[in-house]
Amino acid sequence: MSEPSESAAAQNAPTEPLRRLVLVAFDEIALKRGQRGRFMQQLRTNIVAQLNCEAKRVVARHGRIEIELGELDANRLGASEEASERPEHDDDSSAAHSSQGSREDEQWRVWSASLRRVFGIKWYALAEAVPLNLEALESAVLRRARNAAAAGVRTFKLEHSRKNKEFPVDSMELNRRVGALVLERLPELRVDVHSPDLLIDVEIRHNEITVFAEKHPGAEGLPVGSTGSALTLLSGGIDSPVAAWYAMKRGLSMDYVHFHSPPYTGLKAEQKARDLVDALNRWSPQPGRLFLVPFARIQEEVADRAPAGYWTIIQRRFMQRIAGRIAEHHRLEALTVGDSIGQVASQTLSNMAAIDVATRHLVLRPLLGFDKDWIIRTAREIGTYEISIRPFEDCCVLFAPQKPAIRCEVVTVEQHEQQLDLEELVQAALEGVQVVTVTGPGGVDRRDERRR
Amino acid sequence: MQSVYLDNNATTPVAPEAVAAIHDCLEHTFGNPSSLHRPGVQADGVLGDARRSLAEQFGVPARDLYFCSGATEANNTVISGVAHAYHARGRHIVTTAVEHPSVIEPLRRLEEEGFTVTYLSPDPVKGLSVEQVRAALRADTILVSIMQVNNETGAVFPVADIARMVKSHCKTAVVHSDGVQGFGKLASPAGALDAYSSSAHKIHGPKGAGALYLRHGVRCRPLLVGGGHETGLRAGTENVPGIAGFAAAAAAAGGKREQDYSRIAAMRSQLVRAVESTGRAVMLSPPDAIATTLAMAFPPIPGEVMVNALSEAGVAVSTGSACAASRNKRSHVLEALGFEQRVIDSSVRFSLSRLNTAAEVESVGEVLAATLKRLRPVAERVLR
Repeated sequence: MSEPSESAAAQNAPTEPLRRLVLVAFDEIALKRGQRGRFMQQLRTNIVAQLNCEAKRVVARHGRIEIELGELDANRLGASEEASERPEHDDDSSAAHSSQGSREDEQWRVWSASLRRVFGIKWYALAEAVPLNLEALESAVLRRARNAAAAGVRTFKLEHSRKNKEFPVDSMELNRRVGALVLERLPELRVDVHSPDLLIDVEIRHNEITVFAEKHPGAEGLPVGSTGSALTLLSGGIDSPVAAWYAMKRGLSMDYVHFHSPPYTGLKAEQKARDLVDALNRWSPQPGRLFLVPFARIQEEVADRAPAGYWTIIQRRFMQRIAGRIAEHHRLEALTVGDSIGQVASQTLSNMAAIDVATRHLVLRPLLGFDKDWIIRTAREIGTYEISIRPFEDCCVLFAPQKPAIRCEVVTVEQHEQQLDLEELVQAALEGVQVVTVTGPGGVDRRDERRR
Repeated sequence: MQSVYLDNNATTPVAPEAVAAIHDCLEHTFGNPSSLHRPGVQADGVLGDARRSLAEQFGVPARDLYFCSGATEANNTVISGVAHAYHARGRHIVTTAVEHPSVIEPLRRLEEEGFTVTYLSPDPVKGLSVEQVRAALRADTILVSIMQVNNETGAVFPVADIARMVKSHCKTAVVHSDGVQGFGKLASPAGALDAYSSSAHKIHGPKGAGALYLRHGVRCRPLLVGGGHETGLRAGTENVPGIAGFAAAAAAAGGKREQDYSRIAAMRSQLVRAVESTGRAVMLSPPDAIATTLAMAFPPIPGEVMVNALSEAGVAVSTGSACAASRNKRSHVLEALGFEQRVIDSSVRFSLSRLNTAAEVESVGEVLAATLKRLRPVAERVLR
């Protein structure tokens, strides 16, 4: 295996210093011509915040965002709880022999875990940038292929994109020459153009060539903060966190409101809401706030004055009113709820309509189109399911009637509400609101950034 | 008001004597008791002192006391270990339906392996009689395991009498008692038994330390094997600081156990009077319950709501049973005692320790009255 020609290609090429970077590609953003610049800036800002790295490392260039790998700040490394989580196929450790290289590898692992949670990214990949010449390109491709072959890969395919039309070798010729070189040096590999084990991408740019082998799927959607802001009514169940997540995925920045009613609910139910917000904040560049609203008095009053069948709907209308006031005060544009039609008997259109008229705000129901199975699967993927199923109820059994009304007429509901001093109850609840900034691991810095 | 801790059956605040012993041990005696050098010998000395001192509190020979992580481990060890050591002689075991899960669950496993277990149901008022146990004995009974004090109601079972009866009828059966709620509070019955479990953290010691008394000559297959620690019954380097803290806590409790007990009994009566003055409440503890435990129900207020409300007011107590709406099971103890569902769902347990004061109990009485005054009308209206 030590033919002189191989050594020439692999060692004579100017590989020192090797520049490695993370390439980030976006999807829908590219389509939205008029908004593109703004969305891209938002994505760039979000990446800086979610990776918790220096802004200068993240650059928008050539229709991509590039992140410079560099020396790792040990303090910031500890900030990610997924630091030890390796991407599944980490064949990107070609320069891992130097300590600089292993620091970069470590940083890539940390960043990769965070990049997966940045909305607006179609895919991202660890790339190697080499000088604009054929030898450098060949040795970079060979390095990739050799590492992959050692890891058991048997088939490969090369893909070139030639943005720099000045480059003297055309795509066909490139594919032929580089492909032939790989086959010659690594006889265990074969070309498979349909379903290769390894796809090596080569981008010929104006000042350099980038080579990368593995596109990690991103979270897709739009950058958080690019389309507006909303307030999620977080119950503590499985659905509402998933609803918040889908709304964030469409670019909304998110805050949360949770109605707690001590002594009918306990400290652990409140902790559950905090933990859910913490889990959701990992998908957001800025930590969403949690508004904790005391709800016991309203529940007592409703139970005292309204027929049991109407307790649930009247309570929901109170929640909507209070959430609306909070949204208004903090200039949040919409409310998000976890409703799904017909999931429980009282989730009827007429009930939803009766709840919606309690506030002027737009009410988003991102889960309307999903079955429970899908919602549960998503909850597992985004890390909220295990929190949601903790056995601490957000509503005491006392105030959950055996048979809630299935179809409520607004007029009837309003008649029952006339027995209550709505405004006084809403005001009293608003006066008791606590604002919690949930900062999980690594969250403290982000909060500081927001203050600036 | 200041916070008052009345959940001592769950765990207890650590006594200053125990803190001092643990601190001293962590600072000065780090050695491994199995080592031959000076630090090792020093640690072994601490362990030996603790064993002798605790054996005195148990009323058993020091060589029969084995250290472990606590009563859960002690119960698991003795139940599965004795059953497996004697299975050739018989496969029948007698216990009660109100044992702690750390007794019931190992027994369930033994049932899966083909052992037969008789679960006796005590009377909610009269408790468990020696006669009840006698009637359950069979020729192939190899183990009788009956708790000294029930953790939920405070019912005290006559384990020493039961042991003497068993020995006269069925010589070969091993008699074990889970003493976790009785040790350090009542006179130790261990001398009359073959095996007795205890935990440090229930008597103002640290979590993670406990002891199993196993009479010399009783065979028991260890759960943990390895370096042959604790005469082979429990492998693993001993938790020397925890054990030193355990011994210090037990010595502090044992010093004036009887005076402390009558003081606790007076506080309990004070608490009962305060509760009774607030109106209807259901007493769940039997009349001769241990003074440290008072189980009551305030239907129709859910127990969890009472616990939350008292917690807000600074009083830490626990429910006998989790909320009916939650996925947690209802208390198997209160169900076995035959209480109604609505009573079980509204049960609350107050548990006292020697570190509580009469002034605290007085303030709890006031908080309780105010809480009931607020919650009763709501619960009654809502459930009308």
